[in-house]
Amino acid sequence: MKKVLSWILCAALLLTSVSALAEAVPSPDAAAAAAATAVIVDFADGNHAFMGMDMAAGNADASELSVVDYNGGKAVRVDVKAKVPYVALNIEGMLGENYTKLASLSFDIGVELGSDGKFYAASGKVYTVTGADAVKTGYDWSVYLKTKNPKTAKVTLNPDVALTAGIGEYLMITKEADAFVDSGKFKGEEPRDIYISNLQFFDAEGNVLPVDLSAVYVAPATEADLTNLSVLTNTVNLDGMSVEGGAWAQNGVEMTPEFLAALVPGSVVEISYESEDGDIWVVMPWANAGWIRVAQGQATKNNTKTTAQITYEQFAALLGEDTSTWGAMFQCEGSSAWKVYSVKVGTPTARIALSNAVEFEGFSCEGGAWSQNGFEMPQAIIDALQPGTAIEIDFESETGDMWIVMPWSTAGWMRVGQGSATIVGNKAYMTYEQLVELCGEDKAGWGAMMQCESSGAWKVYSLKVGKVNQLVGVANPVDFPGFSKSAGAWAQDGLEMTPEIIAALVPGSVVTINYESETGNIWIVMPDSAAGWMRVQQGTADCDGKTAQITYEEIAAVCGEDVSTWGARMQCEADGAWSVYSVSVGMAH
Amino acid sequence: MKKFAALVLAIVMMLSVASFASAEEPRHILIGTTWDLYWDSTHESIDANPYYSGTTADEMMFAKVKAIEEKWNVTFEYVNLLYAGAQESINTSILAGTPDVDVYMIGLAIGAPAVANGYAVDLRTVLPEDHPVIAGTDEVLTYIDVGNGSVSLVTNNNKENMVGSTYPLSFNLQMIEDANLEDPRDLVERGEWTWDKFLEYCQVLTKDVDGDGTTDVYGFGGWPGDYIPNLLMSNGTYIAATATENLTSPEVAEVLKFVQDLNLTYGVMYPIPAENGWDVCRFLYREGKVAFCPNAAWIMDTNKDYAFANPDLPTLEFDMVFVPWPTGPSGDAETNKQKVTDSSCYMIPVGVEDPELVFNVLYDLLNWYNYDPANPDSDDEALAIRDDEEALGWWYGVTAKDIDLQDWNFEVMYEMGKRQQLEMMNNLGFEMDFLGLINGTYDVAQFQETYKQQVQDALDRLMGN
Repeated sequence: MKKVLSWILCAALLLTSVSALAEAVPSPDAAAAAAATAVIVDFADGNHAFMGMDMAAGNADASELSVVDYNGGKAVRVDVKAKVPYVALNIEGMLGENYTKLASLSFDIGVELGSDGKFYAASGKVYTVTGADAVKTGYDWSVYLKTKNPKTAKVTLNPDVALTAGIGEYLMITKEADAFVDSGKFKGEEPRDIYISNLQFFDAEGNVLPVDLSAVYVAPATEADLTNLSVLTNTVNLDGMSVEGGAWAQNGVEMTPEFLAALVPGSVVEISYESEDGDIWVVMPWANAGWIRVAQGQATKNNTKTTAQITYEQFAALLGEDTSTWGAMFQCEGSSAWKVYSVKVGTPTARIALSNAVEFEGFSCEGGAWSQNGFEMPQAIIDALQPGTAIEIDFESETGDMWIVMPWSTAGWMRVGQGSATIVGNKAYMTYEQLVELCGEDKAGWGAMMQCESSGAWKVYSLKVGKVNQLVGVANPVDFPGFSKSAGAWAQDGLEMTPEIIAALVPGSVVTINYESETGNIWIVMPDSAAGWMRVQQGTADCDGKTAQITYEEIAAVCGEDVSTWGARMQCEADGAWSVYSVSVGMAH
Repeated sequence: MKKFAALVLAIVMMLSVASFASAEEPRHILIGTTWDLYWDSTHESIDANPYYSGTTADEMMFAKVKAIEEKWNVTFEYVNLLYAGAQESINTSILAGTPDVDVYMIGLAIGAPAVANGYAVDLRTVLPEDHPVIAGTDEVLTYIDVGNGSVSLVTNNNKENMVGSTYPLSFNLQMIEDANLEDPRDLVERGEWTWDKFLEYCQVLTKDVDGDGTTDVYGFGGWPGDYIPNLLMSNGTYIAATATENLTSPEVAEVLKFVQDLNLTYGVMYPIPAENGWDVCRFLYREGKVAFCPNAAWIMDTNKDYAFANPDLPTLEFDMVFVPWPTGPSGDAETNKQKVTDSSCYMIPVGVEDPELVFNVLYDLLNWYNYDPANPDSDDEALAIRDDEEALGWWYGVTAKDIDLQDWNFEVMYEMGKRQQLEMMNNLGFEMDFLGLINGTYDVAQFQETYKQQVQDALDRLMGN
């Protein structure tokens, strides 16, 4: 009996102990959750997935990030290759529901010593990127003494810059000045690396905000898919148009007076969206003309079906010319579940792309309003400036304008492109012909110095010269079914044109080819043309390496005006191996 | 015997002291800059400076390093803090009482607020009262008054530093001669170059040459940004130089009224176009559309007036002569400032140990040409090395084709440069609508009232009030 009692006692003790043990040791899930949340980001676990390199700016460096031992602990090493590193943090993901409480932050930052073993100062910015227009607000950091390397940088955010959750805002840490590079003694060497650790985030009261270390930084596409699309300038956003709906459900907002006023002949409405089947259109439910669907199945969309464009004329064809009769409500709709992120209206312009571009090495500078800054042109740039080429400047300026100055021109101190440069987004273009008009054809008379200038404070990140290609947006594109072909250099392949394609080939129309090729070139062959076996725009088609466009007029120039004489087949060809993914025909915006 | 023993003891003690002194570690002085400077105690070879060009000046600057080390038992080192670093260093380390460096070499945008906030040593507390720098008579350094009376920001007194950023009034000599007017240089010489006389000249020189009822030549024309600061100084005043705005002062009101009157009342000012105004205005004199205009060496070089690089191919057929700006009713030709300072300047932060020693080292460093302040009248040779005319050739060559006129224009710029005024009206972060004032959109009182608070707010921000 004693033995039985002993066994019962032992069993009871064992169960009690196991129970106690179970209480003392957190479950695996709880442990993971605790590990994923921190009050300080010290990189002890080696994770840095919540940060990455933002490559959007023209001077962005493709730095490599890695966690290394540093200063007795761990830090992220930003291995800078050449330009300005923009280390982006998914700050909203890291702070979660506390994101909008963020008022200040601190972090340890150190600078790699020079290759001569000496300390060189470095400085940079912490940027918040906020709002629908991704406005950058900068705050300085600097490491300026060897006795204070590394140091703790503290940044207090401007309370007037509101943080908004849910629209993809983020934070960046950059290095923009480097005394090692500035010294001019180490030409050819990479800029100094920086080390970042012990990030902490605080609310306005100074309380530490917990950080979710499982957040992941996803780099935005560095290049928007602009296939088939026009670039819009002078845009007006439709405030609040971030809505979603199920299949065949409408959702939207009332148009602001500013948005309505911008809907003028020639303008284009652009919808940033996603939908299950890739389609999207507009519904105007309060129009005098009735409840109207606009551009159902007829909006111009990019290849990735993330942006749609609808012309004013498409609206007016259904609603009439008088926008006051269109009704205030603007809705979107799709044949499958859809989300719209933003809607804007603007003036369409051709997208300009340079081919065979030559980079003006080291052209990165800045200036105040109406001040000039620049460099002497290397021979490669002078040689590249030929008829048909343009200068492309990747820039930012307070006033949005940019042009070049040729101060040493024998024709006098010259501004080129002031008020006449083509500005598309953050790029300004001035053609060779504009330069020649003011400075003459003799390059010897241009003077070596090329500068930039703007009417507001400005920064230029890069400057290139190359052949100008103008890619236009197209309305009502008609897909060439099945046109997905590949071939070797100088080999042709294609299909017979469908009646829809032939019907779409009218004056003002454009054939758009989405392609890749070894040489960057692509062109059309019309093998059955009554005028003979014809190459169209061999090596001269407007293209950007991904999209090429050939106009009706360019085909007609070799095959004649009458489409019925062009023959049944349309083929593609290039001077290197090529692949064509799709072909469509539509009217140029 | 006792005397001998005492003497021996004294000698031993002196030797001991000397031995102790010579064993003292040299003090290391840090000079914080915002760009790279060369030739300090860390540089063992003259070639350490990538910009070394083998001139006498280079040799002297390098040799000066050792001379300073031996004279003051110091070593010194330039440290490029970069702009953001210098700003942070000033705002944090000085306030903490442990300045990062012994001297800051900085721009006025950083230096003026630092001095206004009391972050810099007032040299009057360190140097003798009659020190030439305090008295403003020194050839090596001059101080910049930021309005609080302290002598805290000093700048290099060399000629290139002085002539830079000067905007003299220039006149078309041929127009003056054709109009049988007395040369304004003579009026300057006699102290008769006043606003009234200037207005009188402008009225005479404003002409409808072809008699079509439209003025073809104006007495005066230029870009307001180029002349308003100069007219302010000519009336002994400024708009934004201290912690308190001065836009609303009576002296500034006189300037604003004078400028407006030149246009609206007397019609002697070339109408400023609404767009690209400064570009047009800086070209007017070349086209013979104005007799007087603000000018600068860089403008004349940009316009290739006298083709410095190709002196046989001047693009201007007439002479432009520089004079100081005429004296306003509240100004004084003897004391008026004549250049808005934009020089880099030096300051010794509060909290630095033995600031007198630091100043002496700094002074000798900048006096690499070995000027003897104790013998100022007979040390032209040193100044000639510093201000080598060959090295300054551009400054002479761009303003005239005639050698005598080149010398005259240079001297005008140099004399203007020696009278520097802090003026932050162009660094306020917004622009005052001077075109509106000139064209009568505002009267003077309205203009002052419109911008008074904005100027004060900007000053508060700049000065850290």
